[in-house]
Amino acid sequence: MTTEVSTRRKLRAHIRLVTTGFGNAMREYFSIRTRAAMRIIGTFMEVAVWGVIGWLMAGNVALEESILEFYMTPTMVEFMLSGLIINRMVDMAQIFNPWFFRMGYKTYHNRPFNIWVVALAKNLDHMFFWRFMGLIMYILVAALVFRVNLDYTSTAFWFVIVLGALFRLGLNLFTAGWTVLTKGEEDPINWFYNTTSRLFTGELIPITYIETIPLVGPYLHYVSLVHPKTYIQTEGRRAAIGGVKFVDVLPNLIIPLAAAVFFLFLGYVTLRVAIKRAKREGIMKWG
Amino acid sequence: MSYSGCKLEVEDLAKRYPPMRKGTVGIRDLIDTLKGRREEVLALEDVGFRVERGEWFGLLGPNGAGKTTFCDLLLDITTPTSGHILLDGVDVNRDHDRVRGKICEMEYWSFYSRVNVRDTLRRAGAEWMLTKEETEERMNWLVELFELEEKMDDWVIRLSRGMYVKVKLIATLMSGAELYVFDEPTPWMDVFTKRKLYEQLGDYKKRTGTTIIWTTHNLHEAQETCDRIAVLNNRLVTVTTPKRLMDDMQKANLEDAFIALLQEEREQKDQQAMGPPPGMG
Repeated sequence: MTTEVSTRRKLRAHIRLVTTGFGNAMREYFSIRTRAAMRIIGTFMEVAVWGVIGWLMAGNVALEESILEFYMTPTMVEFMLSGLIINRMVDMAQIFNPWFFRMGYKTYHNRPFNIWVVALAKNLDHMFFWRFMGLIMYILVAALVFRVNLDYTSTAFWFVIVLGALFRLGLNLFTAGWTVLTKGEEDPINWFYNTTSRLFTGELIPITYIETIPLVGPYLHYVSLVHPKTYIQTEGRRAAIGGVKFVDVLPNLIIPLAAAVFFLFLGYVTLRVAIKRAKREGIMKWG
Repeated sequence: MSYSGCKLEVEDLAKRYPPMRKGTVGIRDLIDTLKGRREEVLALEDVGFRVERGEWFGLLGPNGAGKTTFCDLLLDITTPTSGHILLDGVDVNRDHDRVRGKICEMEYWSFYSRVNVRDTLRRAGAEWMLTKEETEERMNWLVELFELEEKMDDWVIRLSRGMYVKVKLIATLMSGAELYVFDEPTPWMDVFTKRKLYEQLGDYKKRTGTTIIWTTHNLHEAQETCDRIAVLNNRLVTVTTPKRLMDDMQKANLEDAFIALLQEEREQKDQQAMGPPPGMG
């Protein structure tokens, strides 16, 4: 039954693997309705808070001139909400759940599916669903309440998002390897990426202002320069709001492109080595 | 290493775990290794036996005897230090892709707690590449066989522990695998549920001709269910039938025979450790 199956049946089986998993995750999540309702309201409140903060900053001419020049966003409301939407898009495009190999390998290693396919399928759980729902809410609230519209038809914009997602995939592969071997929650690289993300990458604070922080500013500025997300945030806004073309965006994406290729390679190698070593040490089944 | 027609063939199997790491980077480990302070941990050595097709094969042994390590090696969660486990002639560790989908273990299932039994079992079918129709057919048959019809619309979290194990068992059998691995599957069951389960699982085995590896500390259970048993104590002590072991040790039940066997083995080990008596060397 499991060894010689047609390609068509295999494809159907893969689709069923994804849909049944997704269906059960939904049933589980919506079994507590208040939790789902609170989550929706919480997301709405979060986007509204940032929108209002941006709106309160309106009229600061120096700030608005600075972000218009650097990010091509006319107001702080546009700057903040576009930053949050780009961030959500890059995060939502994560196609790989880094904790799968730590917890799920022992369960799925002997199933008739390729373990990488299962890793992708398992990502389509309620986390993916909520990332998607959250993104839709951000886009809707930004457009309907604060009149912030990004150009979602821009090729350059989507190139930037895909690049960000590939970089994130590389990081996730690395995290997967790290957590298999250490049974920890997070690796140092992801920790650095996440903790520095909001302050140093221009998601909510223009990076041009980091340099002006007394004493430490000039040094902290280097964190922005090495953080690939800085370039994703900058070029994403320039493409989706400023209307900058693909050829003009490309030269500014050398650092995130190199980082994505490097981390995809490093992440894959780390994960393979970690699985091999964990099997030898007998810790592969540890949760 | 030729395939002889039996289901499972274990040859010169050994597993020594490397010393436990003290940190992630491993600098202290490296220093300790260079200074010779770290020693490997022996789990299994010189283990070799065969399991016939359709057999209910028990793995017995005290705590730390290597039973779970053997199951992990069979499932390729752990790699052997040396030796082979062959399933229908295919090495389960070195050629794992060829045995994928043929072995199913019960221990590692995890279910959503607020999903009903029916949807949980449907998911189990999907995880083993069954079509919708095959899933429904197999699920209905197993649910009837294991008398779980009344619980089908209950959330998994609402089941008693015994019932939960039963759902896990049915999810395992949904796979239609050729070899099942059960690592101490019945600790939470009352004696009535257990007996019923042995009966039902025996019935399933008879109908499908499947092979079962059954690890347990409950020797009454092993006496009742297993066609043959292997006694492990980091090495293979014996492979026999429960009845023959009781006869050989002249005991009325398997538990007493098992204790006597391990005592005998320990005495032999102690004698070997002491060396030959003076004047005999």
